[in-house]
Amino acid sequence: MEEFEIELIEKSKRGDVESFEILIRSHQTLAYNIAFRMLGNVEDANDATQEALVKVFKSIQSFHGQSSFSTWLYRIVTNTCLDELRKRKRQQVYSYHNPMEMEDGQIDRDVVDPSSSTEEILEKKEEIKNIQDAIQALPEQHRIVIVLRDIKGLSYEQISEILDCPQGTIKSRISRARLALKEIITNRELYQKPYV
Amino acid sequence: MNCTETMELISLYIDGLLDEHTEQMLQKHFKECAECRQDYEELLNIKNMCSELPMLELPPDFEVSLHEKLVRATENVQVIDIGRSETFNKKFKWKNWKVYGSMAAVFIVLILASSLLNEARFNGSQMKENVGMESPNMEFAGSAPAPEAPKMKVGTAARDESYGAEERLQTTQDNGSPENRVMDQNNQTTQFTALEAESDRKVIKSGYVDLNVEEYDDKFSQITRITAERGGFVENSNTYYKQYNEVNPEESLKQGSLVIRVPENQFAEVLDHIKSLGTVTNTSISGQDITKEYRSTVDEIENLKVQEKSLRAIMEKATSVKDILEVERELSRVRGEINRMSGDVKRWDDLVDLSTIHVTLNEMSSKDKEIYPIRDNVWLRAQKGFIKTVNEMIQFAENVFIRIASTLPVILVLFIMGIPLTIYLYRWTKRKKNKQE
Repeated sequence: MEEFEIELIEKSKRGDVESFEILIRSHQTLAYNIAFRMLGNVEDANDATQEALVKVFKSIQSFHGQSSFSTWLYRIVTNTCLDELRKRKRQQVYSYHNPMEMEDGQIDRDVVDPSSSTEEILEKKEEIKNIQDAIQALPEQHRIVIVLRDIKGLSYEQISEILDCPQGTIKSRISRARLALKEIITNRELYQKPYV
Repeated sequence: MNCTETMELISLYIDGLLDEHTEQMLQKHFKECAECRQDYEELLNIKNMCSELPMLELPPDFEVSLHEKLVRATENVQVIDIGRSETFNKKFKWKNWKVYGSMAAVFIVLILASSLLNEARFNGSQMKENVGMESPNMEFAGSAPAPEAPKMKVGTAARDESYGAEERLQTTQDNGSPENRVMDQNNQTTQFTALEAESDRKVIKSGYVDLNVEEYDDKFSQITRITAERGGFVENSNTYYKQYNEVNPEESLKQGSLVIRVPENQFAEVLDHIKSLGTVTNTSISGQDITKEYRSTVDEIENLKVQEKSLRAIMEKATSVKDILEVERELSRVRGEINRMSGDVKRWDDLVDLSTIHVTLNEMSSKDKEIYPIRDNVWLRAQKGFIKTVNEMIQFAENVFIRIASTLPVILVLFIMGIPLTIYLYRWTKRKKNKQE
């Protein structure tokens, strides 16, 4: 850990808001993006990130440098997101991105926009949208590893620290998550082809 | 290498985390198996798409609102470990909910129980009283004679002393009285009786006897008979059932008290006779010596009479109406005094002549005298007892039901008011908590 960072952490522990803001400046965009990929929309991502960062600030006293500050911060962010998802599950908030669970499998709630598929330029956008939706359709434990590994490109080691799991578990979880994602995308393509 | 193993390794292969040997094995498998190769390509494609997903910019107001929240957080009490305390709070709240619920339940139960108990206690205390009356008497029965003897001694000693004092007083009084006698011839007879009384000591005697007896009615009539024989009378009497036996009314125990008046000279004899009727649990004799008051009152009367006589003489001489009225007024005052005082003297005479004896009779069943044969109505009594208990139980259940039914409106009102309130409070605290976070 850099001297500079340690100093900022010490100042933050004493309640210095400015130091804390400098400390998190380089991390907050990534944190926000993790939250966005996890939660699927901008408003929730904003709320969750802020909540997580306030939490980080409040509990910085208990940070003693066991891991790097960024890892610790992302851990709090991901935990906050997982909490939020759990809360959502309890409140049964339906999102258009989430497939509706039915007895005979999943029915996509997605509203197909007929205007988007006609133009070539939009194809890339369509692809992005597809993959975003597919990620949203993943179970949260899979989603988080995809977000951390494939979208944000964190190493296995970092992920295992953030999620507080052994690396072996992370390896198999990433593997399963990727396969699940592939499954979702191919299924989607099958369903959507007749419409296009 | 088969396809299942390959699927497990593809992910690591994409990330380049496999060792050289395994990597080669995998590549070899891809050449052989088109399906796995396709899977690999798809996965790689997805991965690349993922990493190509654009990074979102932070919302413009992100830092401003974050700063606000952070400043607010510093103002709040410094919580060291928010993560832990929060889960703790959640648990705590949930626990609280349970605690409040159980407290409310306990409260309701207590209200019901106490109101029921009140009724039960009322019944219970009556029974206890009955028992209580019996037990102290039993205790006294054994130790009764002991306190009796010293009390008597003290009483007589005190009387002897006062007698001596009275004799001295009497002599001084006698010096004054001859003049009075000469002065008034009309009142000679009353004065004579007064003088006669003066020779004696004026003592109001009263005795108290508590008796445990076996046949109440018999003993009661014996006492009244003795009183009548000795020239006395029963001033008042009172009899009641101490324990009423519903099955056998003749077995019920009675208790009662008498106040009898007997001539002073018969006092000791009557008292002894009454004592012999049963077991004495408590006895006492008291003598109130009123000789002094008696004498001074009698003297006062004499003086007032002299005054009256002289007033009459003045009256005859009086000529003006004013004088007559004045003398008249004085005269009536004097007469009033005389009447009042002679009334006192009469009452005292009566009290002295007839001594008072307070008798308390307490009937005891004589269970130790003979073995009773088993009574034939045991079964009947058991049946009655059984029915009684069943009735009591029904009554108890009724009371419980009535109590619950009568408190039901209150509970309902509490519920109706409480449910929205708790929902509101719950939401409010939740909102507050969310804001804090």
